[in-house]
This record gives sequence, structure tokens and C-alpha cells, in this order.
Amino acid sequence: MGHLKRFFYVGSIGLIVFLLGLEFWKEQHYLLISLLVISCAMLPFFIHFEKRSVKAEEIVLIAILAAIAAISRVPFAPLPSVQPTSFVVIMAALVFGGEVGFLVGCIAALVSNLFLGQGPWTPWQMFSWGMMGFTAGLLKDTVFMKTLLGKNIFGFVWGFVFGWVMNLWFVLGFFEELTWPVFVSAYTASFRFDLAHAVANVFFLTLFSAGWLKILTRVKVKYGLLKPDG
Amino acid sequence: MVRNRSESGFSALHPAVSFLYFVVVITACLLFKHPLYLYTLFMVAILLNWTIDGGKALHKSIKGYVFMALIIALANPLFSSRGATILFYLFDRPVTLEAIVYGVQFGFSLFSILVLFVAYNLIVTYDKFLYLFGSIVPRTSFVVIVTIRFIPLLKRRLQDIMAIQKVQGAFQEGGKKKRHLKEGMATLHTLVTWSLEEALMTASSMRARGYGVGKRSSAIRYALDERDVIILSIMAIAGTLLFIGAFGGMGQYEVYPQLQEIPFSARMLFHYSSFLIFLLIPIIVNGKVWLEWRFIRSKM
Repeated sequence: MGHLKRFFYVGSIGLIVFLLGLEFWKEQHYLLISLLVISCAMLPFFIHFEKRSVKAEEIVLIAILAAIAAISRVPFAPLPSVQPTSFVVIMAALVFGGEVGFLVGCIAALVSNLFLGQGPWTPWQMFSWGMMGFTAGLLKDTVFMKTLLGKNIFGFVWGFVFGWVMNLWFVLGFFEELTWPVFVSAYTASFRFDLAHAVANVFFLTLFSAGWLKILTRVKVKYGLLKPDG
Repeated sequence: MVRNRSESGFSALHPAVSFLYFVVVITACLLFKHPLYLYTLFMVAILLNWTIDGGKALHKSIKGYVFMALIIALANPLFSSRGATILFYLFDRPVTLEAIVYGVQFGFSLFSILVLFVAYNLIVTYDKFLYLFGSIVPRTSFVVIVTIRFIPLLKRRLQDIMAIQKVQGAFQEGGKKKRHLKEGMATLHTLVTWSLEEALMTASSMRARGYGVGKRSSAIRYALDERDVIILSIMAIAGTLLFIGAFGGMGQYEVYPQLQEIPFSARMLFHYSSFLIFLLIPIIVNGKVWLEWRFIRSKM
């Protein structure tokens, strides 16, 4: 009975989202569709986090990492794209895994915008930083991410991917025809900022990553954090 | 006007009311293309800011917003050559009147969204936002609350660490850039080590005090009073009409292939009035408060 009820709820919400999406698609409201899509992409992470059993340590750990990531962005606000937030998110994910990485990125975006101002960009930043953390967590045990070169490549690529995702709200919402020239000029206009972000990531990862990994791993071991059996 | 940011008028209502208002109005900015609707949204966005704090917050960022809207308005005719009325040629590409009008529509809608977000930041402050989401995603919003609490703490610690570093001879004027970076790195390392340890102590302390035993309650309580219910019902009726009309094709305006006369009908007038009623709710509420303060007569 419980299963049937859950199936009914999830099914009807899915149907509503699908029909809304269909209507927006027909009317070419691409920005609204894309918002629906990224909300649906982020929802499972939050549902999982709400439903599983979580220790107080985990909650405070995620909060302090998100606070560090957010506060490191505020002094750099005048320089677009240069901020150590991405670096902190990647570090958190490499030590504590994808879920923590996702939440740290997502919450850091939300909280730093409390000081810098919320806007239509907030959901996109939450999505981008969240996914940056999640993918870093997925790759954390691979040989690739164990090397400094691998981490640098990862940070460099994400510097660009982040900017490309952030361009979307602007391009999808406020350009009439989504043709190649539109995309190419929007993405060349943002190239300088994306490059700055990518280079900043490489810079921080090269200089700081060894030290940060040591500090975070030490805390993880000392307090026996985030073990599935703990 | 209510010039301080004390809770009065629309901000004093239940957070669900103000949050719902902004969700609907910002969606409306994306849905409607009719010039009358766009112009109304534009005026309401500015008027709303003015009734909240006399436009102080808007004043800070308005230049950038106008610039962004202008770029969007100008970009469209450069990329799109649709439309029948060719005005002139630019780099061998026709620039059409229709594409310009379309660009201006986009510019208006982007500008209204950005201005509405300024009002949103003033009215739906983060404690209200967290109150709303606290009942849906309690654990996530608790993490956000703890994060917000850590921010001023970390700022203070950062200052402490840097003060000690300065005594030890760091951060001197005219030093080498590389040295500065190294010292900055040391500051951040100290901050992380210190804060992580402390945070985990906090967690143990939380657990010892019974965190997670019962259901969490909110420190601030918002009761849904009679006034909120009345306004919510008006919003529900006007909002339903608004969306039914929107999906029935109201509030639209096709510029292509050629500029048409602006559509106008009795049905549209009905839809527009429900749209206007919805939009004006906070302005009427704020205006009423202002009038009461101005012309209050003591009945004692």
C-alpha cells in the first residue's frame, strides 16, 4: 500500500512536470523548461539527503565547508570568475565523496548569494557548483584524480563547463533564435571569464591541494566521518 | 513612504504570500510578450521597489541592469533577420523593425526580472525563505542555517589570524607578490584547520544535547492570520485566471512576419484586469499602510 501511494505521488508530480514542459516547449519558453530540468536533476540529491540517517557531525561538516567555500568568494566579488569556491568544492568532494561535494557546492552558491544578491543566476550556480562537486566525488578513487595533473585538468575543464552552464540562463531566456552564431558569440564573449576561472582553479589546485587534502583527510580519519557503516 | 526596512505592509505578511507573489510575477515576465503586459510589469517592478525602501536598493544596481537590458535589446536585431520591414543593412545583413521590437520586448522582460529580484531580496529575507523550506526539506534548510551562522564567525577568525600573522611580520607593504600569496595560503590553512576541529566539537555538543531526537521547530513563527487568508484567496483567484488565460494565448503578441496592430479585445481586458489585480497587491498593501500612517486619526 505504501509503495502504491508513493508511486501515485511520484507519478502525478512527474506527469505535471512533463505536461508543463510540453506546454513550455510548444510556446518556446526554453528558460522555463531548463529551470524545470535542472530542478529535477537536483531533486534526487536532496531527497536522498533528507531520507537517510545523518549524524550531527556530517551536518556541521557540510555547513562549515560550504561556509568556507562561500566566504572565500565574497572578497573576490569584484573580480568575476576568480574565486577559490570551486577549489574548496572539489577538495571537499575528493575527501568526503560526491554527495557531500554536491551539497557543499549547492549550499555555498545559495549562501554566498545571500550576501551578493539572489537573481535568476542562483539556481544555475547551485546546479553548476553542485555538479562540480558531484563529478569530483565520482572520480575521487580513480588513478586520474590521484595525480596532480589529473586534478588540474579536471579543474581547468570545469572552469569552462561552469561558465558554459552559466551562460545558458541568459542565452536560452533572452535570445529569439537559438542559432549557432548566437551561441558562438555568447560563448566567445564569456571566454575571458571562463579562462580566468579555469586558470584560477589550476593555480589553487597546484599550490593548495596537497595541504588541503592532508587537513581534510586527517579530520575524516580522526572523527571517523562519513563511513557507510559508521 | 515606508522608508525603513522594518516589517510593515507587504513584508509583514506571511512569507508564503510574498514568496508565491514573486514566483508568479517573475514567471509572468517570461510568459507574456504583449507590450501592455510588459510595460505594466516594468512599472510595477519599479513602483514596488519604491514602496519598499524608496528605491534605495534599486539605485545601487540599476545602471548595470539597464546596461544588460540594452545589450539584450540590441543583440537581437544583429542576430536575427526575420521580419518583413527592412530598415537598413549592417555588414550586409538586413536589420528589420520586427527584430528590433522583439529585442526590446526581451530587454523589458529581463529588466523587470532583475528589478523584481531586488524587491525579492528586500522582502523575502533568508529567514523567511528558510522558514518556508524548513517544513519541506528540514535537514537541508538546517544545514543552510548553520552555514549562515558560520559566515560571520569565519570572518572574525580570518581577522584574528591575520592580526597574529602581521605581528609575526607577514603582510608587509611592498612585499613580493609570491610572498603575499604564500602568507595568504597560510591564513587559509589555519582557518580551515581551526574551524574544522571546532565544527566537529560543535557537532558532538549538539548530539550530547539531543540533536535529532525530536522534530525541529522554528525560532520564528509566522501565523497565517485573517489578512493573509484574504490576500491569498485574491491571489489564488487572480492567479488561476492569469494562468488559464496565459495558456489560452492571452497576453501574447506576434511581431513576425510583420508588426501587427496591438491586439485588444474584451476577453483580453478581462484577463488584463486579473493580471493587474495580482500585480498590484503588494503596492496596495504598502500604500494602505502609508496612508494610515499619514492620515491616522486617533479614536481615543
